[in-house]
Amino acid sequence: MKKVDNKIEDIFNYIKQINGNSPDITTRIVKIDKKRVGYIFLQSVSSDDKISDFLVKSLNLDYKFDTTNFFTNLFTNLQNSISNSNLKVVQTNEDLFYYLASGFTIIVTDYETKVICVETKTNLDRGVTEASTETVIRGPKDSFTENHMINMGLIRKRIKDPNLWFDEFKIGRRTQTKVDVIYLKDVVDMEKINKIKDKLSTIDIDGILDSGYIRQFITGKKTYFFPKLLSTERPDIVCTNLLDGKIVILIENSPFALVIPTVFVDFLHSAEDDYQIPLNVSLTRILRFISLIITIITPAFYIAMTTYDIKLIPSHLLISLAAQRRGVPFPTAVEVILLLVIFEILRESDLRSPSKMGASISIVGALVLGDAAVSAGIVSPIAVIIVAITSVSGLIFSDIDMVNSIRIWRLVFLIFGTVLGFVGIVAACIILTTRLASIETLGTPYLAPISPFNLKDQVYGIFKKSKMSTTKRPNYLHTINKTRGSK
Amino acid sequence: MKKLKLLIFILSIFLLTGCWNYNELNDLALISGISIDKDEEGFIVNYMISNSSKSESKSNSNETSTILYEGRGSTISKATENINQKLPKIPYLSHVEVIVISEEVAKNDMLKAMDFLLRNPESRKEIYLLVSKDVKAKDTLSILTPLESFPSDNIKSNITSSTNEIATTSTIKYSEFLAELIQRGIDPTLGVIEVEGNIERGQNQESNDNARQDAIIKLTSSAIFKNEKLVYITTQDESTAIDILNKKLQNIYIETECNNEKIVTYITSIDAKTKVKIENNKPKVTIDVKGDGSLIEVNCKVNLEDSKIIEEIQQQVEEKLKTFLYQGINICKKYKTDTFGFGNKIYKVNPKYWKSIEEKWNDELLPQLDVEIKISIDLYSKGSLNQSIKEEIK
Repeated sequence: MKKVDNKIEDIFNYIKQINGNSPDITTRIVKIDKKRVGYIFLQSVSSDDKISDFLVKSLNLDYKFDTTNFFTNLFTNLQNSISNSNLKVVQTNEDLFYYLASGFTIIVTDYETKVICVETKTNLDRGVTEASTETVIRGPKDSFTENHMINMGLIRKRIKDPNLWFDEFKIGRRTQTKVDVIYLKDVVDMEKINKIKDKLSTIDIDGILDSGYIRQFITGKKTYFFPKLLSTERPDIVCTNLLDGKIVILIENSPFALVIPTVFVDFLHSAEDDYQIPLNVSLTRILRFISLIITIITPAFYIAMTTYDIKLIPSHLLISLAAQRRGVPFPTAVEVILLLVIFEILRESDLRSPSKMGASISIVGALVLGDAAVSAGIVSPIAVIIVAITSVSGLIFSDIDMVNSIRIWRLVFLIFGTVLGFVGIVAACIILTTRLASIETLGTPYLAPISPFNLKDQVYGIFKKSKMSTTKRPNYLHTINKTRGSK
Repeated sequence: MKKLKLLIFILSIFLLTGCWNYNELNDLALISGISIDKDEEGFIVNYMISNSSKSESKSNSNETSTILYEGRGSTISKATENINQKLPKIPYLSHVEVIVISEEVAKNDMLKAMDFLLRNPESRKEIYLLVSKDVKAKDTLSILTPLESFPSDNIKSNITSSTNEIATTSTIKYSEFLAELIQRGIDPTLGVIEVEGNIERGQNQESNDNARQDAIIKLTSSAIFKNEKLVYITTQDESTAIDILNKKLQNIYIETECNNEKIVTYITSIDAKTKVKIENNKPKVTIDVKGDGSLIEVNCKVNLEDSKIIEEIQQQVEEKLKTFLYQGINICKKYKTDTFGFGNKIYKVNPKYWKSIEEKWNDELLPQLDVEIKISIDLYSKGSLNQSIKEEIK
């Protein structure tokens, strides 16, 4: 490690040189008691007001110092006069630029190898806004932002427990992103924490820009279509999971926190499930489960039904179906795949397009592709209905990864159903179930608490009970502290 | 290498199976009704196809939605082959709802028709089997009705409503017919379909435009078989009696006399329990008939609040019902056919005894069988009026 140069100009030149003389580097030299003090900051990330109001005013006091103790006295004085900002003494060149980029102002003297770093960060974040992907009707509306401190604060203000621990890592060779592992010290199984820490410390990458990066490192190379970790932008969900005994990873500059370990049923839950009447919630979750099955199986079921097991269809329905299929030039499977692809294209274009173009997309989608395609005899009305049911049921999930993985499995089912009929659907069901059952995160089976089955954990599955009856934390998490109350 | 093996394995699932049994709906001709007739040259089979292009049109249009394809041949299979040659699509037999067999075929060639239908793996066994009386079987399939889209639907809904609601006739499904045919000591019955009115005009869609239809389909009587041969087509009353005793019918209207006027009783939830005893080496049959009655029409002057009069009416109803039911028994004795399965009951009670009499059962024992019918009707309701209307006016 190279020591900090003790000449002010040397340090200024050094910083300018490693940064290619960046235009936002600002340097200034002031004199205190005829001794030179230099300060340097990056204008783009620093607040001019903070520097002039607090820092420079504190520097311009009339000091009478010895040359020998100049640095120490300066630091003590700053410490006494600037009370609300981070103040640090730094030794190495490498750290120097990290602090500059983080919005610190660096104070340099001619006499010492050390420098003083004062935090003068400017506010580059949008404020706390309403959650946009996980909306609720009742319940807290705030959501995480890109500001790490605000995000931590949103959690901290909900759980005022000293056992709420934040373990911080800096990951990313170039981005130096803060990654916090958050957990309740006296609840969580420490083995899981160690595993996560091990995984995080082995990450070797130039940059972490979103929690999606960390998610891939934690889930590993083996690819699954289903998301293994829940990512949420809602602090209340994060806190619910923390209280359950789960671990949360919060990443700087990302409004999405990761929940570890996540089980499959978590995706069937919604943010406001905890705030509503438990019986209604249970019924809603059953509805979500049914729509999960519908959205995966319907196209395959329709094809298998109308091409292999026609005798299962009631006569009147069959006659109506046959009448609708008349004149359609494509086989049923091609027809359904065609419509499914068109729907996915519509969805993707709707996601990517600015909101002002949304209206034209829906007109094209509804009128041209739906109505006109039927009138033109390219697809049958029943196929449009099937695809519509499938798509609408698929959108019941808020997690985009879940929606996308369902899309893939829908296609797998469709191919099996087309080639093998109901036998194929059963085969695809077996494949799906074994795939799901083989997933585990940090030793927690993905299908818990349904498989392996645990009766007491069912309140964390589909059937919800009132908070009075939910006294135990989920068993599958193997928490140290198993009860929520005092008993 | 491992991945390659897996790929070959998965591909072989898709390629080797080759979409066995794959059929697009467009390629199928959905057959909803079959009729089997016979003339001097052989069999005439008609397929009623329900997914013609006409069925696509909306319900308010005035087009016929059904189409009949006819085939002839020396055997039923030849006749169907003849149809297939004319039909541009694959005939699909799984959704057949009704099979109508002409009286002549039922009398002579029932087994041939059965064999053909049973052998076809596609055909469902839940098909209504009917015998056409006085008309060709194919004509019954072609009578159009404004209430249902297809003639076969009309027949089917006629069957289901007649068995559930009103006492006219009961019908039997193809599988039940076969079961009765195969079992010992029981002879099958079938529903009979008739056409009332002008058949030719009834086949025309214009007939549906009139308020009064030119031809309608009736299901009123039963065809009684002895083994596989049709022996007699009953009257409506006989058919009702047989169906009540066979527990296929639960409701009936009974008229009784009262001062030269009539009282009508509607009897519901009729349950007939048949018991067989063997006394002195002779079988004896007792049938317990129980039911709930309610007065639905009282035309004479009676005091309905008097419990004696109610009892009197009840007795009259029971007597009337008994004679009514004996009609059915008498028909069976006359034609020596075991429609009620008495023989089967004997076989179940005492198989050894049954073996000893099996040979002479139908011809000797059945006509002289001692059948006793015990009736108990519970008159529980007089409807909304307490008295007859004449009493109320007074």
